[in-house]
Amino acid sequence: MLVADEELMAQCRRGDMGAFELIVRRYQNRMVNYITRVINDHHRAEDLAQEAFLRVLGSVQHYRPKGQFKNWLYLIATNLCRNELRNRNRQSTDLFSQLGLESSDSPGDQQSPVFEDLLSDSRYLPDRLYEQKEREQMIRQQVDLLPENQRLSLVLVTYQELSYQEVSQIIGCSVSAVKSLIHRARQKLKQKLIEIGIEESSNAKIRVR
Amino acid sequence: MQKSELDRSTPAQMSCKEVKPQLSSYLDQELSELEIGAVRYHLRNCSDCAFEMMQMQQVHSVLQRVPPVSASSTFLPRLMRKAATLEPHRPIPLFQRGDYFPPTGSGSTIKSGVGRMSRCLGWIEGKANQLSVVGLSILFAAVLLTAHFHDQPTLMTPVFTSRVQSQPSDLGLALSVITSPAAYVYMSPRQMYTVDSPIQPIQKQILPHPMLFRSKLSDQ
Repeated sequence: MLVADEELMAQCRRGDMGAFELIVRRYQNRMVNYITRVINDHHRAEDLAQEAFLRVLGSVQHYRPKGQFKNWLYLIATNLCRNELRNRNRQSTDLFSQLGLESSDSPGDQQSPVFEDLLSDSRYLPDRLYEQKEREQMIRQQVDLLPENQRLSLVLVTYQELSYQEVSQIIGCSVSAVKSLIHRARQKLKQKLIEIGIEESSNAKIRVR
Repeated sequence: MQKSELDRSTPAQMSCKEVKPQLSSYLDQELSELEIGAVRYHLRNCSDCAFEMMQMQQVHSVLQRVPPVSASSTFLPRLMRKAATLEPHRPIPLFQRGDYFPPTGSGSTIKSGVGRMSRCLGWIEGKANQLSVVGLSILFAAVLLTAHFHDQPTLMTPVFTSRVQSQPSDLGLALSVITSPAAYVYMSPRQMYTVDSPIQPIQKQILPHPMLFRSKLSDQ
């Protein structure tokens, strides 16, 4: 019989590390997957997922089961992702200023020349597996270019299969705002995927009129 | 007759401008029954919106084709090693227990405000604990000294002075001499622990003196 998360947290509060391990086993893949989708860096995502679980353990005395444990965990992970993205933006801004260049406010508006090169020159795609990996990486990169809240809501809905209501609690906005964020994120992605010619399946591109 | 039946059976008509922003919600099944009916009806009759919907579905399936990423095999052992090095969990004082309020939409600001207020109360409680013991003992000493030098009976006189002469009793003197330094010594090693909060990255928590919880800590 599956023990509820809230019950495991109650055991954890009493100092039962076995309960904490069960929670980690239950959510480790989901956390690593979620954070990787958001920050697009698997190794860093593992570090942040560990940090999220340690925060759960550190705050176990504060936890009151008013909402679902899962949403609380996603909230912690989302805050960590936000900090990571902000630090990254700050670092890139510093780098740009050091180089005497201006950083773009909306990097999504610019097509990366690396992708264009890769797409235009098929010699860099020697086999199908590599092509597949490359395509996945390009899709991840396109998601990575979305603004923070659009990316977070899209990842939570598409990959974590959360409802708009749950996403609104995690992101900290209204349900209608989540609707709008996801709609705009899909619209932007659609444009980008059409531009770079990502295929929906092996034999059909996203159809354009 | 046929037309009126059709009108009754068809949902409220929506314009393209109304339908397009709803397409994502339609795809994620986040619309009400009524809205689903209206959007579906519109899509049957509008090729432009139907095409837009098809593109949305394709974007969704492109995203879903990217395989999930799993935690590495060393994730759990590494985490449990880190967890073992953390301090044992300590009970939190009453006023500091309102730190986590799960946000519920627009109410989250108010709730975080309440959380902050409770943390302020916790701080005041911590300071008051320290000051009250020292303050009370100073007050006792002051009352006794006043009674001694002015030779006047005070409220404390029956307790702390002998009834025959208005002189401080041995008990009163002993209490005033012992309580002040004892209170100071008791409060001085009070430690500050830091606990990571899910809402704020680092939050200082004033926890009670370990002496108070010696029995509970030994249980853990």
